[in-house]
Amino acid sequence: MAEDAVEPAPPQGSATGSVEQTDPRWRPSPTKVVAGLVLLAGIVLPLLVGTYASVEPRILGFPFFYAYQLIWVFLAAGCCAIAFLLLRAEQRRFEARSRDGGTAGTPGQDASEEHR
Amino acid sequence: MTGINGVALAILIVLFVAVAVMGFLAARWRRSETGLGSLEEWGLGGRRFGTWVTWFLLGGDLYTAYTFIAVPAAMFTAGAVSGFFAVPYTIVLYPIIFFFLARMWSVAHRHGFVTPADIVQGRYGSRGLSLAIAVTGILATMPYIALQLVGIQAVLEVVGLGGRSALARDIPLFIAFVVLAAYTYSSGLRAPAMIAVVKDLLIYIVIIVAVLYLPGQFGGWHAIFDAAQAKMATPKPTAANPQAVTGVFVPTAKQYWAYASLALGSALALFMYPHSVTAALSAKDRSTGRRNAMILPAYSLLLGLLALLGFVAIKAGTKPIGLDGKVNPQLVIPQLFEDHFPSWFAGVAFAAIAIGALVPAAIMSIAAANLFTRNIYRAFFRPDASDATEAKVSKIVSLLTKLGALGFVLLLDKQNALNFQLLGGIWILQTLPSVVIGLFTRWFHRWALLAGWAVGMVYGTVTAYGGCTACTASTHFGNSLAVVPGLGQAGYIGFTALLLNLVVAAVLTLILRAAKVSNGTDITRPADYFADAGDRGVAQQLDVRGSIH
Repeated sequence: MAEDAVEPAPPQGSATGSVEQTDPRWRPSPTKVVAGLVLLAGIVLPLLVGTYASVEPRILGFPFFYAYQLIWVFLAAGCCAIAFLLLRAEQRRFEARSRDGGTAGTPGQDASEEHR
Repeated sequence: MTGINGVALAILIVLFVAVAVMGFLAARWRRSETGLGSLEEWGLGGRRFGTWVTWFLLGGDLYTAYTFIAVPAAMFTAGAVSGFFAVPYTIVLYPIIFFFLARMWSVAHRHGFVTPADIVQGRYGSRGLSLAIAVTGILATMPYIALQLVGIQAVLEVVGLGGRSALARDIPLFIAFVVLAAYTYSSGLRAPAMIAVVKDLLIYIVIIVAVLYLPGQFGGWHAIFDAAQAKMATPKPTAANPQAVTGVFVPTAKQYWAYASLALGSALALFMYPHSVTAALSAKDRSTGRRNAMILPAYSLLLGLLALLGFVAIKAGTKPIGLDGKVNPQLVIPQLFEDHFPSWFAGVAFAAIAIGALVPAAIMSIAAANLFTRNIYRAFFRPDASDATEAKVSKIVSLLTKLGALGFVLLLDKQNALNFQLLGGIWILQTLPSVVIGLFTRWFHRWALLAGWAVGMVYGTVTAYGGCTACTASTHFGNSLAVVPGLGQAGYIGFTALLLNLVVAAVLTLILRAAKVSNGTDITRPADYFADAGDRGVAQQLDVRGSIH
């Protein structure tokens, strides 16, 4: 099928790589920022060892140090789930807009219009 | 420990053979019309694995036999910092990969990238940088394969095969190796994908049963933790530190950064390994990786419980003594199972571990072979190699890497294998700036990245060999920690090296940009990083012939 045929992209000779601004998905939108923060929380919080390096209080017989980290397994999955849903919603909005009217609005532009 | 545990061995053999047969049959699974002739089909499974198969494949990839043997062994010997960091490592891993895995899939499927070195080549147009990434990938993968074979060896030793007779010790391993090599050669990536399902099911069953059944046998978790705490607090004075204790139960303030940097550095490094990239790129669309990030954490829970089995072994009084009479902590988990489970279940557990070695060993050797074929053979020797030639070269190289790993295990001291794996982790982490940061921005200059890589490699290697004075009391894991300059505390060498790498790259980038030195050509466009299956120009089944486009 034609859609499967590979389309060679023209080489982009650029010393500074500044074409990134042209695609709206490249720019950070509020959704992306929130998703990013949620994911960052899932990275930074479990690494703050000082906040949980103790034996008490025990949970189900497990010292806090061990129980807390096992709980974080689920919390991290939760962070990923939240980020996934946020980004998927944004992607669908982007696709709907692209279908409806090409240049009519992008995730980044919507946010800036709301601020006016 | 005297004589051979016949029942366990029989079950081990039966399951192993069953899985091997599956490996050979896997060639028929979801095959395309071109068969397994192309590198695409052999080396990437045709890139059509959905969420669940990818989950098993990634899980089979991430949780290796070495993980199952070494993590509890470290807990048993030296406690939390050496062993339990594996849990926060897997916790932070998924949010981390969430950031960049989808982009990597998209740009790879848009341009036909198969390996991390391809990505770098496309983004920066630098053959030197691409070669550095390729060589690092191959060097880092080989000891990892060797350690999977060490995992099989540990299981075989507890079953009773091995000991003084070199023949008895090496032949079973050799047989396992031949089986592994044969089905990988014939079926490529499909084989470990299919086997991963079986392996994961076995591992789940074994660990869940063990974790539910064993603690009750020894007085419950509270008693187990008390025993571990007592052992870790037992004095074990060394020449360097007369105050030293056996291990760590809960890290002290001076060990926080060591623990956190081991977790973070290992998480960052994991997806730099060629085999992780291979598994991720074999998914059928860009979101599969993210969906897996939500559900793979189930494995982390398993890993945490597995680590704690190391503590259970302390309470159980397990004596991991090899057939040569010497203490070998790697035998803790197999020995624990043999001591406290009926022989048939011990056999199932051993099969789970042995098969758990086969899956990652196969994937790792395929990935290393892909790297060599595309980024060294085709890039520098035979640019016009045909599709079929590439697949053939890959198969042979995959075989050679496994042979090399086997030689490693049979001829060298185990401690060397472990040290090389540590080095491998440090090395592969140095490829992160070139591969991952490039997915987001092209600000860094290619020569700066190459220089940063070199500095990170040299610093990491030298420091790892230099030994460590401020580390926790443990043997080989001591080599992964070193005092961080300026911090006064021990930290993971790989992570410190990465920071140094980034600083050097940043500084040189500023200089090179100011001097207006060309940053090569970028064949990618911003939209490529969001391309998904079904989009125009994104091939489900790429044409591997010819260069990346």
